[in-house]
Amino acid sequence: MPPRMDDKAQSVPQDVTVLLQAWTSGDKDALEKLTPLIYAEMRRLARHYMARERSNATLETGAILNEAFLRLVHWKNARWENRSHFYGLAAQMMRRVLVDHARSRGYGKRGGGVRPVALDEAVVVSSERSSDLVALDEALERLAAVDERKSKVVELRFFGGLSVEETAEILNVSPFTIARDWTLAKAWLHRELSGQGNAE
Amino acid sequence: MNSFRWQKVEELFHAALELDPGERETFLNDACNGDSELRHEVQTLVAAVNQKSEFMNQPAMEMEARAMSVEPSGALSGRRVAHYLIGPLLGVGGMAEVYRARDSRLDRDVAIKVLLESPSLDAVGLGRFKREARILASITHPNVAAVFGFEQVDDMCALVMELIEGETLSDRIARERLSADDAIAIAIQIAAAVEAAHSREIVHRDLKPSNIRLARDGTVKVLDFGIAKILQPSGGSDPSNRTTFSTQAAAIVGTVAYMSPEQARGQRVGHSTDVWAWGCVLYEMLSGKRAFDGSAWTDMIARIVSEDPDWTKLPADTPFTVRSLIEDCLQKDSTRRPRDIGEVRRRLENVQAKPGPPAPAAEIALSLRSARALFLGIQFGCLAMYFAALFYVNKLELDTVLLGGVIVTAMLGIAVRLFLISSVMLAHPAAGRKFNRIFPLLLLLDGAWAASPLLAVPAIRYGVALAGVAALAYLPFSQRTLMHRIYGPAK
Repeated sequence: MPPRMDDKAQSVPQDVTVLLQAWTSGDKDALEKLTPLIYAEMRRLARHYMARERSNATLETGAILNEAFLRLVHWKNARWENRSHFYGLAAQMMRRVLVDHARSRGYGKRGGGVRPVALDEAVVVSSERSSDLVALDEALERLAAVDERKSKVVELRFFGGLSVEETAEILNVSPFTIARDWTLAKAWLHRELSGQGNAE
Repeated sequence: MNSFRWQKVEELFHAALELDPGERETFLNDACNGDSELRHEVQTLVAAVNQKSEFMNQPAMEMEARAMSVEPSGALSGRRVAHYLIGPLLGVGGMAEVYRARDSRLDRDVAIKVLLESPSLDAVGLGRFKREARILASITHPNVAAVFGFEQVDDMCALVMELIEGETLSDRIARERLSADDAIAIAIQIAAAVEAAHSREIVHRDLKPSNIRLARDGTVKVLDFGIAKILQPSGGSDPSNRTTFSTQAAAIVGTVAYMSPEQARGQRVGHSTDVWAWGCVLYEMLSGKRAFDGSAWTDMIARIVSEDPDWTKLPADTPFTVRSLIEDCLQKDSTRRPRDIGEVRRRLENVQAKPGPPAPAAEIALSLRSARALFLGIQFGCLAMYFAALFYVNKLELDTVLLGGVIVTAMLGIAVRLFLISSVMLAHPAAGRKFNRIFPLLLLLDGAWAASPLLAVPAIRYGVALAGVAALAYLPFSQRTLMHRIYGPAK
């Protein structure tokens, strides 16, 4: 997609860069600190684009954010071993960022704080959606136990926003296999989430 | 589950998917060979594919983008900005967060609206924002939420506004169907607020139920005048700097459902833009449904630009005048809408003072346009009949008195029809009243005309002639109903 970022999207906050470097050199705590920062940055960008396009641009904003995210984590002196390593980690981090946040949103609600009212009826903040995301994440863990590659496919496609072809390249299998994996994984997760799954 | 078994599941799953749904059952029965657990596993997976095509169809980020954008940061609570102590977050929208705050100088509670991603606060942007805020602060009207001033919070603009406690109109509409009286009373106050702003050349641009608050004392307060304009990218000074993106954004600030056709097209907005939105709000109050709705914004825009709202959704007891007022306000062509919101308010106040009879049940589904077409059709039909009468009257063997009567009736009839046709086609505003005045004459003419089948009695049977008389005698009354549909009931 054509880059429609303005200067705001391109500047990567300094501490994000430092933490990312720490994370890739094996500092596990860095990830803990990193996800809220990345989320805040994503939210700022989401607002930025939403405010401009209003209620009509969910898809496009999502695509812009995906790209912004990739730019955010793709800093210059990256020590990515290769392209697929980078995308793999990026999808993993995106999953982490979104799910962690959904989880905290869910707990915050149960904590009993007064939830602000949406000012705009065009806007729906769905708390169910966040619990969906948490449940999906958990189901994905279970899928990984059954079939590691399929959970990877979901991570790359759903959280990383990658196409079938890109996913195929990263996992080094044919696009046909990825498409089949994707169909089965979606069915498996859907069954799992609608509570019809076999206890295994 | 071991990996061998999982492979088997996978194999059968894909094989079953390639078959027609009807054949899968037999296929699985054969393939599983009595292994009911395996069969169940594959079958539930296949069923999950068919169930929900929406599931995970978009990447997570696309799903989350909107929720993310309106998530409150809530970051300002507890801070002190100028002489305001910022309290809890009251609400959040795509463009702003609203906090309750305490004005420590005047010792009162206010609302502070922080415009997220507001105009760039360089000298030009800030100057423009100050100017706009000053204009907004100049509107003092009981139905307009007052703007007290503005502050700068970090790199964001914030408007200090009157704090209004009470539900929004959109909450109210969601909660219950408003009675026609309540809806009219609220609409009058909204119109009065818009009128006050228009007199200062401020166009609201984003009038919608969620921007209208019903204060506890029953006063209607309209919020956010001109905010949509403040939120537009400025960039007017250097047109080359304006990308298509920001030009588009300038047009599409505002909730899509209440957007006027000219806003949807990105054209200039004016007073009539608010008249449109006002019509949408009144329609929604009466019907409980949005005038232009759709699951996707593109559907909404398509309806706004080319379709009429569903008039049958308006309740049966909606006065004629109110219907036709809404129809006028929702004219696609902005020049055909009432030019002045004050005129709209006065028309509605007339209804409030003298409630007209509700629409007869048979008339409900009739739109203004079809009422007009039907009325004109009848007039042209009658005109044709009169001319035919003048041509063929000598063929009937009538005595002189009767002959004279037919000729005079036809001449008079032609004159009256021509008058009615021209006044309805030219949309003469007083035509409704004039019609009421000439109705007795019309009754007489159409009555005389109705008797005409009797002249042909020897040629046709008596019963048929009487049926013709009855049908023709109904004509003047149906014309009156149509006329009332077009111009409102007799006053």
